Amino acid sequence: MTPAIAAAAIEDFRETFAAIRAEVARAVIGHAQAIETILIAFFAGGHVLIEGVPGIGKTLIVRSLAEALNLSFNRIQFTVDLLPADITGTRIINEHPDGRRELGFVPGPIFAHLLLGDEINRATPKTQSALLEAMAEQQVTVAGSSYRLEAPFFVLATLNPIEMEGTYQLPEAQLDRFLFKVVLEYPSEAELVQILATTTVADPPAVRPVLPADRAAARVEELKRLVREVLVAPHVEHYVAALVRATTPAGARGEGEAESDVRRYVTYGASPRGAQALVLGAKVKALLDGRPHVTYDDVDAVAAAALGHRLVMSFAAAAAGVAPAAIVERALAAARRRRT
Amino acid sequence: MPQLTPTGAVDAVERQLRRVRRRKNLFELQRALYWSIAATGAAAALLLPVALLARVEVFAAVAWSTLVVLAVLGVRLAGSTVRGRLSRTDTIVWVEREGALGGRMRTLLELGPRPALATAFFHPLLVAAVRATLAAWAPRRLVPQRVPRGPLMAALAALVVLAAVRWAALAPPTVPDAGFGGLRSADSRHHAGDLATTAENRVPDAPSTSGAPWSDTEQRRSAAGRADSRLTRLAGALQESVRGQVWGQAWERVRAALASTATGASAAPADDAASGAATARLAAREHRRGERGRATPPAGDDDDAAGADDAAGADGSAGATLPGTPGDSPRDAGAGASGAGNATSPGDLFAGSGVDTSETNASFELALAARMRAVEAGRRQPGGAAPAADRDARPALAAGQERETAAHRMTIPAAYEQLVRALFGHRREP
Repeated sequence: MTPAIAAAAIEDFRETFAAIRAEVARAVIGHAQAIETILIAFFAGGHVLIEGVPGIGKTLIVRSLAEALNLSFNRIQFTVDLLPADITGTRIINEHPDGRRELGFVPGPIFAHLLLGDEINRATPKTQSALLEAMAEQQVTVAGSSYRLEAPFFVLATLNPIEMEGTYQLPEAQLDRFLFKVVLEYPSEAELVQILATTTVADPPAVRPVLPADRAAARVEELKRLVREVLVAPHVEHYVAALVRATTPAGARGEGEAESDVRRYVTYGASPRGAQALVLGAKVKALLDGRPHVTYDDVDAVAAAALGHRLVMSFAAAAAGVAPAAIVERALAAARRRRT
Repeated sequence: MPQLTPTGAVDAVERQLRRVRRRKNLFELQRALYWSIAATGAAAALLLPVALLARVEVFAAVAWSTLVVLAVLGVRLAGSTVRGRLSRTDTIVWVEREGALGGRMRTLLELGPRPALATAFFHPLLVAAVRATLAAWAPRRLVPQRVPRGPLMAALAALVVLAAVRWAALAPPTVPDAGFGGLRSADSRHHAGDLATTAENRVPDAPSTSGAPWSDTEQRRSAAGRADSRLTRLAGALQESVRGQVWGQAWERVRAALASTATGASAAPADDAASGAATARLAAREHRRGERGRATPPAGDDDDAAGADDAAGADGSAGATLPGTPGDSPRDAGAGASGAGNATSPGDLFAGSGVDTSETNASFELALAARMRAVEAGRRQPGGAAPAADRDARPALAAGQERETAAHRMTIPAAYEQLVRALFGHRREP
């Protein structure tokens, strides 16, 4: 392997990433940072939880992404009466022409490259848990049989933060399986005007596929492998470990304000999976910056998205109105002071 | 240019890293050394004139203040040097920061021991990137100066100032004339005023040539000296050492002269007063002895003590038994009454001096047995003019009246010995 090939691979990754982002941006007005974060999670091999008020463009983002990537796409509208089999699929009795009957598996909507779980918190915990195995191991098990999901498998789930009645809080185990959590902010007035101008016409802007249909999946997997090749030095690994430890009450042993806040407001901190999410997201950031190695800044850039939803806040935090993002920010500041 | 292998490139990086570290640490060491020289030289340039010219108290204050400042500067300089010194790990971080390398070199060096790095996809690219930036963190670029010019200039300046002060201080101080036996002039006292002050402060520590008790001034200084801390004595010793080293033998002469000047100056006023009173008393005693001599023939040399006792009893006073009289001392009791005289040998008239003054230039003790006659007896009114004394009905009796308080043994400087003996010597009537 020569340096030129590696440099070309990085450049190819950057061009592909930029092209997909540009195509999604044609359909989605604003949310540039959210789109980049979603794409980072996609190429890092993780899943994304999107939180935003209704009508803000959550579904549009996911659909546009699927069209740009030229991958299969399914959408599941989670409701309170949704069953796990409605997601994973079920076994039914098939009758052959010769009269022979046998149980056959009918794949559910989870069998797609991109899966949009809309308003995932409306389903019962049992149904929500149907996603756990698929998200972690990229397979589903129905009636004792496991079925492999085709790679790439990418789940985007949306949360509606304003309708609490009739919703179920996502279990921590499931939250932890989302690489990033993205909060969609309300668009600005200029963005709103642009949305009106582009979406209320006869021919709204369409998203063109960036990757060829026949080898889109392979191409995505190739790019994901390239991300894994990015080098991470021990000092960055130590920094990530210190940062993750700083979000846990047991790890926040200092006497500073950040450590004190963590001990007071956090019940459970980020898991090792959170550290993995930090490193993987930082690797994508490094490639986007044209570097074959990760720096502190790459870690910092993805820390808020990777760690915030993994913190289990205490009642004191709820009473004081302290958000997880604030804790992550303070832990970051404390870790920055200690880094070498 | 031949293509470097990744291993060779890493070796090149490590070599350059060592050069950077060596240059930086040498620079920091020089900086600390030059600042130390500058600070020490400046302190010495300040202390030298103070040590030569100022009083010991001033020198002690300046010396210890300077020492404290030097200590603080030294601690700060040491801390700065330790912080500025680079270990291997620190060198990597420092080079990364100063060279704005973006973590490439550090990643390469830290991942070096990992065997998987050799087959990593991006390793060649990382090596090439680090190699391309070697010039960006060359030793001369990160540490432009081989020698810290600012501290070096400061050190040189301090040394030049110190040399100038040392050269200016080579001229020895003016020696007071009295120190060499001559008359003490106002000029010489003025020139050596500060030096005399410092010398006097050390005089109590020096051996006294007279053995006499200290004067009031010396006692006050002694009390102040007890209050002085050991730091002041150390500073005094240092000051003495500095003067000795700078001025050499010249300072030894000055010191000896100042010591004798200080001793003589403290005793002189008391001597003058004593000599005046003693002269008047001597005249009265000569008068009485003359009358007694005419009435009683001399008893000879062997009867000196009895004659003295008789004389005291004949005066009608309790001088022989009063406390504080010269006859109270054991020496006087066995060797004839001091000051009584034997009317035969003026040299032995006062029972000998406290020390042998024939060979030395020291003072001697004069034992006065004669009593001071009171000029006016009784208590005076606190205010107004003194009332005129009544007419003395018996002048002859009053002339023989002895003073209640006997004159104590006095310390007479050697310079006054001839004068005192001339005035107080009892001579046989011609």
